[in-house]
Amino acid sequence: MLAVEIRDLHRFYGDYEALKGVSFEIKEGEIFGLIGPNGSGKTTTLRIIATILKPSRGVVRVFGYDVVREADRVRKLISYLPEEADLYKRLTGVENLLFFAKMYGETSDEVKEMVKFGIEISGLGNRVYDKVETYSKGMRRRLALARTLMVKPKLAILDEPTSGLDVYASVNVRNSIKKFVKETGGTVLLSSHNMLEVEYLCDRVAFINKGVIIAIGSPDELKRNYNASNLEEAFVRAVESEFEKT
Amino acid sequence: MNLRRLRNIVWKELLDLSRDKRTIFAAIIVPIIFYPTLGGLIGYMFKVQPAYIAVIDYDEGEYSRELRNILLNYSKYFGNINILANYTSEAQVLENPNIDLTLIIPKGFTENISSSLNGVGVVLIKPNVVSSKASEAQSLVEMAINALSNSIVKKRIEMALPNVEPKKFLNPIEKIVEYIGPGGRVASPEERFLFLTLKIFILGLYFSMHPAIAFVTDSVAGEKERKTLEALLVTPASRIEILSGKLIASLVLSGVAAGMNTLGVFLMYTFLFGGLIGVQIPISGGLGLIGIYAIDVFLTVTVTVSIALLISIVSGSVRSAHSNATALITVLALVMFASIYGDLEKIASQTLPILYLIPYAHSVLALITFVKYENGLILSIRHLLILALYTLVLIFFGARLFSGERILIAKVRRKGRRFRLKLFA
Repeated sequence: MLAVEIRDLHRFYGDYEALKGVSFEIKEGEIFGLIGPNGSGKTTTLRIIATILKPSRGVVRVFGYDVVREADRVRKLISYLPEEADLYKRLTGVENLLFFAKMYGETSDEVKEMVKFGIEISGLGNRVYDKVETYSKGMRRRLALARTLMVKPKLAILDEPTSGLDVYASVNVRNSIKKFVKETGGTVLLSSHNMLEVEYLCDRVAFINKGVIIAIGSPDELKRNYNASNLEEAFVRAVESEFEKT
Repeated sequence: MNLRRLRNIVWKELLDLSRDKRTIFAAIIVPIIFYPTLGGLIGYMFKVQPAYIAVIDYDEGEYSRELRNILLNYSKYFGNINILANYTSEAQVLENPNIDLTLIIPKGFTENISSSLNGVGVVLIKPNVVSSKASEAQSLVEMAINALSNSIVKKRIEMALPNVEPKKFLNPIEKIVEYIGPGGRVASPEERFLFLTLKIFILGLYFSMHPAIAFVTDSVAGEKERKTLEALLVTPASRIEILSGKLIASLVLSGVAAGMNTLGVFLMYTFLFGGLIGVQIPISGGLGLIGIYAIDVFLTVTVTVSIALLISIVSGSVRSAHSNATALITVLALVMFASIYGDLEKIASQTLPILYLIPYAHSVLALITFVKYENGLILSIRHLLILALYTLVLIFFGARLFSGERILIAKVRRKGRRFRLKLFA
């Protein structure tokens, strides 16, 4: 079954067209990366899939449910980590997890299970009982990721999950994502402009530039198709080849 | 509406609120500490501040001595007023900047009065314009002069018209003053302070609104700014559940603020009068007025919450939401300040009906109508219901804005061009 299906997606902000007919599919259980520079339309695409923005035109389905007409059903299946998302600073780490767990969990056992899993993914140990305002940026990002993944969504949408983090914190976040997929079999859609991260994590990747998908495939396929040694090089060549076409 | 999720949102908001020291301080600590202290301080300052009247007696005659004696006698009943009769020149008085008023009795004062039945003695009264007690001192001096005048007139009548009773001759009209309350009933002595009571209550209403502005802007615009809102909007909770949770928490704060404010204003009233006139005076209007005031504060705070909510939804940051909400609410609340100087009910009903459109006018009118009319309770409830209606309408529009994309995308105007600003891109 397709986890995400996008057909001819357009989105306007006033007169500005942020997405110009985006189409792609994500299979269930995949880690799918959306790669592009700032302002390429990554966040807009993720927000539309996450049901918080509406498409101007086109169809977006998550596990067969339309994100506009069946947004309530979609929200029960997904979890979203916005770019640079923060937490409730006056609450402790565990209180933050508990709040979000109660949004998804139906029974107290389910909620407890989610919080337990969240604490484990966050890797914060006893610091999880401290107020978030005492955390470092890396700790906050790990907790935000744990909050997103602990509910074991069928589709986790992660916008720049390692943005602004140092090497060690980034490695921890990537390991948490891998662990989530391994343990739950969930699908992950992530956006990033860190090509190494995407190459390490993703089964398939889509290059997006100026609101248009310019290439899709596995990291190896993309490198092969553009005769590149790494994804960064492949992306640059894909953009150049698109420029030549126009 | 999923009650479990709603309860969870309310729990989070209240937990967050309980740790927000600034809002707790403004909503709870300020009313019960600040208001009574302010009341006590004003009363105490007024009571303990001495007034000094310098008397320069160039005359040293019979009537000038009598005038000084009357002044000394009256000053005993006039609180902290001191008569300084040992000055011999105006230059001496100028050396003391604390003199509130100077009374000069020129030479020939007694002689002028005594010379004939038409004789007039002149005194000079020089109040200090920078003194806050000068008018009080002037009242005392004028009372003393009136007393001396009456005494002189009495003597003249006895001399010229031996068969006339001086008291009746001087006062051909006897006046009887009887204070009346709503419906023409005789008012109790404390009801003479009703006007002042209302002013204090209206001032309390104004101060009650600010903690709510801080809380709502932080709860809505703050979530946007901290970027916690997006993650929340993607949870299975509906936007109505999220908004309702925030509103319920705001209403809890409103209730606590209303209780604290009412207690604070009550204490302020007590301390103010305790300081001013040395005795505790029960609040005129009684428990009924206090009850109406408590409900009024609650509804005033909720209407403030609704206005701040609307502004927070369309604002991109806590700072802009807070400053815009404060500016708008302060402008709307000008009717409260205006009502300190005039009868808002009279102005609105007779000359400016447009004032009825301002929600805070109804906050004031709920209090005024309660004490002014015989059926004041019904009229007051009508104004309270209008306040509640305003709240519901504003919340309805707030819910509509919250449910749309406006919550994430703010519309801004710059250099005449209109465009949308993407907040989270």
